[in-house]
Amino acid sequence: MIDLSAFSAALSLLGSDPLAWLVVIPGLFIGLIFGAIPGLSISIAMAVFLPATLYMDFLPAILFLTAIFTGGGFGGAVPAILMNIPGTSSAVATAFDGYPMSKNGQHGEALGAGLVASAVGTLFGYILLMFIVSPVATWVLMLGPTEMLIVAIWGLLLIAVLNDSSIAKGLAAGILGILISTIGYSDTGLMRGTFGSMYLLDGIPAIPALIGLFAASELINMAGRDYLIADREMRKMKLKPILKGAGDTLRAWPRVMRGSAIGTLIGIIPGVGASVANLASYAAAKRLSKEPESFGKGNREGVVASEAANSSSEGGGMVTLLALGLPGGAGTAILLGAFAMHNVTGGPRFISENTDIVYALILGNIAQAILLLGVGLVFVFLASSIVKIRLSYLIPYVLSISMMGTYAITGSLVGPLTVAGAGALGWIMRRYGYPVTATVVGLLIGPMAEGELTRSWQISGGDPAFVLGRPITMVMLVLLVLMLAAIFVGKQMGRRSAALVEGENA
Amino acid sequence: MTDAPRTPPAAPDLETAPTPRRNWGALVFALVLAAALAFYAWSVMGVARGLTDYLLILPAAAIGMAAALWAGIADLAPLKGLAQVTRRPLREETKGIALLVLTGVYACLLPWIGFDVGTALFIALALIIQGERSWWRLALAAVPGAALMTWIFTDLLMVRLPVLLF
Repeated sequence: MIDLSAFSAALSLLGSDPLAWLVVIPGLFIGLIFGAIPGLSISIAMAVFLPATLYMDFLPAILFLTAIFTGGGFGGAVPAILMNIPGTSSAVATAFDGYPMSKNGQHGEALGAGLVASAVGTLFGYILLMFIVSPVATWVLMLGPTEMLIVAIWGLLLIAVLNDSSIAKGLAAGILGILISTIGYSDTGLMRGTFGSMYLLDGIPAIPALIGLFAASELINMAGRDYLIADREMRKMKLKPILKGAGDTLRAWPRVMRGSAIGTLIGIIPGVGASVANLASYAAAKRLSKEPESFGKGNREGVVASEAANSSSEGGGMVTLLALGLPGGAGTAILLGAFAMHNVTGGPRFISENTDIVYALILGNIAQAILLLGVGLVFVFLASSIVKIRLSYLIPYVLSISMMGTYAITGSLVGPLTVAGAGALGWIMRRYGYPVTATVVGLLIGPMAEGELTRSWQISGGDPAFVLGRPITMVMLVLLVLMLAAIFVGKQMGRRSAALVEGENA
Repeated sequence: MTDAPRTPPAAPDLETAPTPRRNWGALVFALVLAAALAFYAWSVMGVARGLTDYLLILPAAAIGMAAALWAGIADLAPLKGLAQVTRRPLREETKGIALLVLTGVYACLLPWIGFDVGTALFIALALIIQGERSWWRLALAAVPGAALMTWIFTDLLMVRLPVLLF
């Protein structure tokens, strides 16, 4: 599977180009900072620094951009854990348990666990990439709209898994997210739900909505409290809990590997990427855990599952980029732009003609994952001081940064207005027990679901029997039904146990 | 993501808890949500040119409405025990509601007062709402904080924010 002569050529290529290594650590720091600032994203960081790569050779240019990608993959987890604000959409599931861990005074452990899971996930994704880059190119081409639709439905059904209040509220909240995501111009050029406003032509921007639903509503909920962590002793910055979280995560390596495998596989599918990978991995970890009820209340496994998956999906995304020249998400789309800037076109021909460069890229990224452990540790140690700030000051500052960041994303007042509106909606939803996470999941998956449903309808001519001729779709459907059955049985058993405990306590 | 009370709640005395209350607010929210989903689906159907324009929206809205109504009716069951004791009445949420309104006003006024002046005012007013009364602390938190943030975004990140003074 590995071309050994190309592999040794890649090693000498990396050894002979010191610039390729000089740009890696700055790239990691840039990614960490951009990922950690709410409203800014990895793709913004990569887009801002893309022109800087114009005067570099191809290899250092791509390594610089992938270092930003790698750093940003973990950077988004820092505000997710410390402030319940996923810095990027790929860190949504990290907040589910990372933030409760912070509130319990375990922010150091959560950050350490997230860092190691992220580094191992990246490492896993790229090692796997080295082995599968050539054979997978043909496999990905076999996925059609019906298969992609099943992937989207799978994502939507995570709503039921993630919801802790009731399935009805989860469904209502998730569908609200899906319908919000359809506002604006459709693929067929129809204006929907814009009420004549030109600001809504592009729809409701997902990242500002995500920040409003998650962060603004939670921050406003915290008004009146003194600190994020009530216990003064627990607010102290210590290296020991970070290292403990890191060590415990390394010891629980099978869970890290499971998250990494899920992330890589989802990352391979074009258009899905890290924002779905973290949710899918979190749901799988919750379903397979012996203590599923502890998820959402500060279970380290939740942080590990999410971070391992979102980081490993980077390697998966590179599969389609290198093998097919197809970007899997915004980050890989910018990498494709960098390829074009250096007159390089991805695809099977690129792999066969430049195998040494492909291996050099993969090896460089493996080295980046190892370096992330050191660079990330310094970053995490500094970032964890946020729990020492009084909430009365933290709330307006974070809201202001979010407003500016979302203005930067949208280039208009749509961003800040979306944060304010989604914040109010999220606050009301929390008050009446509707899971805002379900709305966010719906918002992220909605466009993909609609696109694939429309394409499936057009290809099949509206005949449901069409799927019978697609074995991959059938296998995925069976797996989906089995998953639903497992969830249903699990919920029933949980209800019976709760009723039993209640009866014993009465 | 759970609601954290401002002060640790006293151990609930379930036996002497007040008469069970109904969650009318939840029903109103469920009805508004169902009506919003129905209105959106109806508005899309009104302009649709073909089936693909509402292929996802119509069934999703129908399921969403049914789920919202179901949830609203289920919420009408009287709150009992711990759920009743730990629930925060609306009058205790004044700071949160005031911050929500302030955030909305801040976002709406940005084109006129800019991010520099707007952010300084927002930080100061948010601090006042949360109980800060020291004028020098308010000024120190609002003015340099807003200036630093605006500078980072406009000069360092080259984002064209609407500003009044910078």
